[in-house]
Amino acid sequence: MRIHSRKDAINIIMENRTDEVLITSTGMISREVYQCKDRPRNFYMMGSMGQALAIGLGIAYARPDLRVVVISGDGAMLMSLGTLVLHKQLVEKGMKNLLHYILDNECHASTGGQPTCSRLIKFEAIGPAEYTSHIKVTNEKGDAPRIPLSPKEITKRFKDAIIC
Amino acid sequence: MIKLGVPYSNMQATLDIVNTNEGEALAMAAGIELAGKEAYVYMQDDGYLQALNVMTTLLMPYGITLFINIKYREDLEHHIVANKLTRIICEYIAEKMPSI
Repeated sequence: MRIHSRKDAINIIMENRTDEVLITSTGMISREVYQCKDRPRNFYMMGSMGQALAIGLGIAYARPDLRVVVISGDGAMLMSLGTLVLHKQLVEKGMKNLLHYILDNECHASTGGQPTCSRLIKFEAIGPAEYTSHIKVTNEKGDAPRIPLSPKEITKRFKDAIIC
Repeated sequence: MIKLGVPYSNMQATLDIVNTNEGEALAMAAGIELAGKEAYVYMQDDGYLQALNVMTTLLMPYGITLFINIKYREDLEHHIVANKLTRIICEYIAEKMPSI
């Protein structure tokens, strides 16, 4: 729960990555991850706000041999709180291969800083606490450029990297 | 084949995963496909409309193909518009984007 800038939080998360599959939420999180450390095992979302965790759960469920990391934002996560509960249920049934980071700046930074209601809840109390890392971050807009990959290119290199 | 989705009345299949909503079901199925396994998603037409955002911003642009079983509901007044729209959308997708 320590406060970092979003960029610093992403740098810290990316420093520790080895062969994990990474799903990043739409908006500045994907752009800043691309800028920090692009790799074929990164799946950058450019839409479907709130669904990063669901995609990660699909991968983690289908492939227990892979370790999956998901990075969501607070605005996206508030759109799909049910998915946090599904994650908790799957952990209860034995899922151990998905680690979920929620970077919480209490606002929609990429659309002008409109406030969310995330300060009122604890995400880690809704999802599985041991696999949910809720990190408060500052609300700077960020200046990372658009990702110069098409969605189909992202899919192709991602699948090539993880399907033998 | 992993079966997932949101149950509807008189559903015969047994789901491996019961999702909390239809958008989540399609996104999770997309993850299963990205990981190289097959997913089969169940929902009814009202729910398909709920999941359209995932259809148009994830499955289509990223080229992820799935089996989706959509149960048509025409039995009650509050299902009629959703049923009609689902038919139109499915025809449109089949005509304009045959690879999906």
